[in-house]
Order: sequence, then C-alpha cells, then structure tokens
Amino acid sequence: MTRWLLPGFLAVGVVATLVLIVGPALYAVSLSFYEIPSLTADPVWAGFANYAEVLGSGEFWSALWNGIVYAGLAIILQVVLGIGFALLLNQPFFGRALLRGIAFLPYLLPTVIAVLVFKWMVDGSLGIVTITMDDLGLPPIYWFETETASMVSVILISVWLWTPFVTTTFLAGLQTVPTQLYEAARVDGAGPVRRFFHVTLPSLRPILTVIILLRGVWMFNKFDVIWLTTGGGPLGATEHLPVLSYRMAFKLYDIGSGAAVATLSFFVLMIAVTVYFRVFPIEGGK
Amino acid sequence: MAEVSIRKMRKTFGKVVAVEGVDLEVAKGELIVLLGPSGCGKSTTLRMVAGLESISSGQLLIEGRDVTSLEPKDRDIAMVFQNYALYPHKTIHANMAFGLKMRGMPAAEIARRVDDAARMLDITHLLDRKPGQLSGGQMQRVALGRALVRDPAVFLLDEPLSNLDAKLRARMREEIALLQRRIGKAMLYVTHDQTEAMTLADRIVIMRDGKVQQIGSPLEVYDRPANAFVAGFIGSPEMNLIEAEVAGGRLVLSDGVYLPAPSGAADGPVLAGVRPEALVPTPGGASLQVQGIEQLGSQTLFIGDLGGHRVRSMTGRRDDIAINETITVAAPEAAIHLFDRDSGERLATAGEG
Ligand SMILES: Nc1ncnc2c1ncn2[C@@H]1O[C@H](COP(=O)(O)OP(=O)(O)OP(=O)(O)O)[C@@H](O)[C@H]1O
Ligand SMILES: [Mg+2]
Repeated sequence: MTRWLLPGFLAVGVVATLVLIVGPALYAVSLSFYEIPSLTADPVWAGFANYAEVLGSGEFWSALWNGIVYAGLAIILQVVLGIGFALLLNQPFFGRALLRGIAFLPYLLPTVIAVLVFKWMVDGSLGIVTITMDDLGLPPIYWFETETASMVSVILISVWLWTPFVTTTFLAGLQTVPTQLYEAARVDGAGPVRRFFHVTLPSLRPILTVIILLRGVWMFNKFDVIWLTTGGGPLGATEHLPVLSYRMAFKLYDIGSGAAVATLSFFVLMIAVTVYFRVFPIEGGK
Repeated sequence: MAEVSIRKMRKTFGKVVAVEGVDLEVAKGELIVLLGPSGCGKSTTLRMVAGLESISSGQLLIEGRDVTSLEPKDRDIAMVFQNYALYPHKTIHANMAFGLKMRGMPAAEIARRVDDAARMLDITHLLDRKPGQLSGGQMQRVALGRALVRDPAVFLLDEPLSNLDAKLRARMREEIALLQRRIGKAMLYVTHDQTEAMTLADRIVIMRDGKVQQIGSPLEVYDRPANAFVAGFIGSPEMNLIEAEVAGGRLVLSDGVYLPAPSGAADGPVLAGVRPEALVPTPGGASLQVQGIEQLGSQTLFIGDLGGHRVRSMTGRRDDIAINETITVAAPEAAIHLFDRDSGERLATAGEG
C-alpha cells in the first residue's frame, strides 16, 4: 500500500506538470514553426521562416533592447530602494511594526488595479497628481506622452509595485545576521557604511542573488504593466518582447511569428540566467 | 596607575537594573574574572567597558583617559565574543587583519602582526581558510588572534570557552593564562564557571543580581567568602550551609551533634558553612548517616545526614563504607564559616578581626 504512495504522488505531479506546463510550452514552441494566418485557419508548416522574419525585423531588436532597459533599470531601482527601505525599517523607532506592514501593501495590489489607479491619478484633466501640481503652480508632467517619459513611467510603476518584495525579503534576511558580527565590526572600528559592506551585504549575498534573479525574470516577462499603460507605445518606445509577441499573435493574427518571439525571448532569458549563475554562484559564502 | 578604572558604573534597561554601581580598578597585566550566575550582569558590565552598551551612570577610565562615552573603536580595547563572531565570508587572515585595516595601518605592518599572532596561537596553517572550515577550538584561537593583533590596552572576553567541550576548555584555559602572562596586558574575563575563574584569575569579581558581592584573589574568596552566596558559589563540590546555633563555643547542629565554633563567635543562631573537603571522616566526630556515595577516583564524596542536615563530606579514596552505614566526621575550627542567617553576611570572629 505505502509502497505505491510515493510513486503515486510523484506520478500525479509529473502528469500535472506535463499537461499544464510542458505541454502548452511545447505547443507554443511548435506553433512558431507554422504559418497561421488566423486563430481558425489551418497551420501550414513554415520551418524557420518565422524566425528569419522576426530576427530580420527591427521590431524584435528594439523590443529586446526596450525589455533590457525596462527590466534592468526597474531591478536596479527596486534593489537599491528595497535595501534602503529594509535598512530603515530595521532601525528601532516608534510605529515600526505598522510601517513594516504598510510598506508591504503595494505588493498585495493586483497589477491591474494599481495601474488603473495610477492612470487616474495622473489623468491629464482629472488626476489628483495633475491637479495638485497645477495648484502648486508646477508645470504638468506628460506621463505617457513622450517616448522617454513613457519608459520612465512604466519603470516607476514597476518599482513602486515590486520594491516591497525586495524590502520584505531583505528585511527578513537582516534578522538572520548575528548581532555579534556587527558588534565585532564596531570594536574593529568599522562605521555604519563599512558594517553594511563588510557584514550585511556579504551575509545577505545569497538572498540578494535570488532576489535579483527572481525580479529579473519577472520583470523581463512582465506584460501587464506595459500593456495596461502604454500598450507598447508611443511609437513602440515601451514595446518589449512580451508585448511584441502578444501584438503579433493577437493583433496582427500572425500567431507563428508571435510564438517565435516568445520562444526567442525564452532562449534569451535562459542564456541570461545561465550566465548569471556562472557569475554569481548561488551557494555564495564558503 | 590603574589600566582600567570602573567607578560606580551602573546600567538600567528601562526599569530593570542590570548592573548596580560596580567599582573596580584593574592593574596592567592583571587578569580579572567576572563570575556569577546567569543574568547577574557580567556581560552587561563587560559590554559597558567595551562600549557596546551605553553607561547609564558612573565613569570609566582606560589608561587614565575618560572613555565613558566613546565609541568602542576609540577605547583601546579588543573583545573576544562567546560565539567567536568571526566574519564568515572573510578568510582567517582577513578576519584578523580587518580591525587593523579599519585603522589604516600600513599593509606590511598588518602582515607582520597577523603572522606573529598566528604563530603565537599556532594557526598559521589556517590563515587562508574561512571560518566555516574550522573547528570550534580553532575558531576560538582565531578570535583570540583577532584581539591579539590589535595590541590593545585591555582585552575583554565574554565566556570565550563556553562553546568548547570540557577537555578543550581546560587546554584553552591554560593557553589563555600563558598568553596573558606573556603579553602582560589587562584582561577582563567573563564566565559562570567557577573552576575557570579559580584557575585563571588574579582576582575574581563575584556578582549577583547586578551587584558585586566580593572582589579578591581566588584563595581569598575561597578562604574568606564575604557572604553565604559567595561561599556557596565558589568551590566544588559546593560548601555545606547549615542552619545552626552557636552556644558556649560550640556549633550546635542539633541535640548532641556538634562542630567546633570559631573562637570569639557570639552565641546565637547562624548560618554555618563548612566545605566538604574540610568535613572529613574522623574517629570520635559527629555522626553522619551515609545516604549517597560518589566515587571520583582519587577522592570519595559522602552525602548524608548530619544532625538533621543534608551535608557532603569529601575525603581521599574510601571504598570500605556502604550506604546506610554511619561514619563520624569532624572539621577544624578554622574551616567553619559563620554567616548571618538573614542577610547572609559573614560574621566577624576573633581570628579575623
Ligand atoms: N538589552 C537588554 N534589555 C533589557 N534587559 C537586558 C538587556 N541585556 C541584558 N538585560 C538584563 O540585564 C541582566 C543582566 O544581563 P547580562 O547579560 O549581563 O547577564 P550575564 O551575567 O551575562 O548572564 P549570562 O551568564 O546568562 O550571560 C539580565 O537580567 C538581563 O535580562
Ligand atoms: Mg553573559
């Protein structure tokens, strides 16, 4: 009886993974080798034609670059701010527990709601930010009008939404650093900054490695923030690979090319992650 | 001039008084052990000297300089922590060099000092490793080395050996004693292990509930404990403390069971103390009914009833006595300590003035 229990559970897991994850993924990859002019049309084998077309287009490369800029800057800001907030929230002060809770809130918001609220707040005529700035006599900011502003805006929204993840994870990590290490460093003559770089950061390096990896992958694949705010515009300035893939497949009904973009995106990410693990081996420490 | 002067040093955490007015002068080359039960304020006292804990009131001088409100790095102290507190990601060499680097010492001088200390502690072969690759005893040496290279006026050690097994602890104890003689610096050493205190200390500071109970050399506190608490805390096995009565120059334990009383002791109820090793089987002594026997190899410990009091008697090896037998024991007059029953303070007797 118990002899079959473990293999049984394992089998369920394996089947579920195959059916729900591996299957669709392979199906998506297979689509990239077909010419599919619409959702109902019969696929026609096309070999690598879709890939040739995608890689030959400027769209793909600019979307890749946009994705790198978006994910890169968003991660850097999230990590720097997240660590900063974690250090602040780790200081003893009145109301710390409350503030720690509040700091986590943005992370709990569904992206759709956060993005819509943000768009209302900066709405050109009704937004509270717009009106307040107007009242203060400040010039209006055109959040999504220019190419640079759009990129900055989507980055800021992402930073606002996901910095709490970094803060919370890092804050939890801070609790695990033995206080005696800080005391030893104090006796050794290290001030707060050197204590951070010689005790905190090395101790939390494994956590930080994972944070950056997770946030990096998530940001690179992040679809909803950009789609809901700029839709990739203006003039494709914020169009990254997920948006490009979606637009090709479901707006231009070129499902094969959309799938090819998604597949290429996956390979780019895989290479990036592999390189990352080479450079920052996760076991760190010893 | 005293190397360290602690004057009326006090520490409160909110309403909790952790340390109550400690006064202590430590001379150069002197090894002071702070001893006491858990929670008595030893660590807090040491940490105030280190500067890791602020001093609520009182004054602290190191080499004559008032350092009461200075940062640890400006006090000319080095500290060895209970859990070693080595930087886990740095090599042993970097661990030992860190404090010197922070002080901007030239690299050549750092290298020389680290090498010297490593040789002294026999850890030269470990310098390229990380702390995670070391045994507890080796980490302890490195922690000592890290303090040593700094060449401070005062060494502070908080239960440095408590994580080691008994054998290693005894060996490291000897090494620390040797090392301390050799470098001739002042050392404050916290422990709750009275054997460690007795073997290491030039003077022992015994604390309880944040208050200093007695300061004296190991033999002074052993021979003349200032109160019943010190009497019970110092010495192993523990001193027998018996509620008795002084009457007519004798110590009456119960009807017909006597021990000698120190000359000049006033009549009345007392708390009498006698060490097991002073209460030895003697023909014609008081009757002790043996209830338990502990064989220690070269010595034998009898646990039994002496006039209604549970006492321990220790002697050279005896294997001719069985449980429930009755033996007779006696103690020399000079080995009897008298304490006030209420306050526990030592009662003056003729021999002591
Ligand atoms: N940061 C603190 N906040 C509040 N109370 C404290 C703090 N540190 C120590 N205490 C209290 O001060 C008293 C003395 O503590 P301390 O650590 O000095 O004891 P100790 O003699 O070193 O004991 P141990 O042998 O267990 O290490 C204890 O009652 C402890 O609870
Ligand atoms: Mg302690």
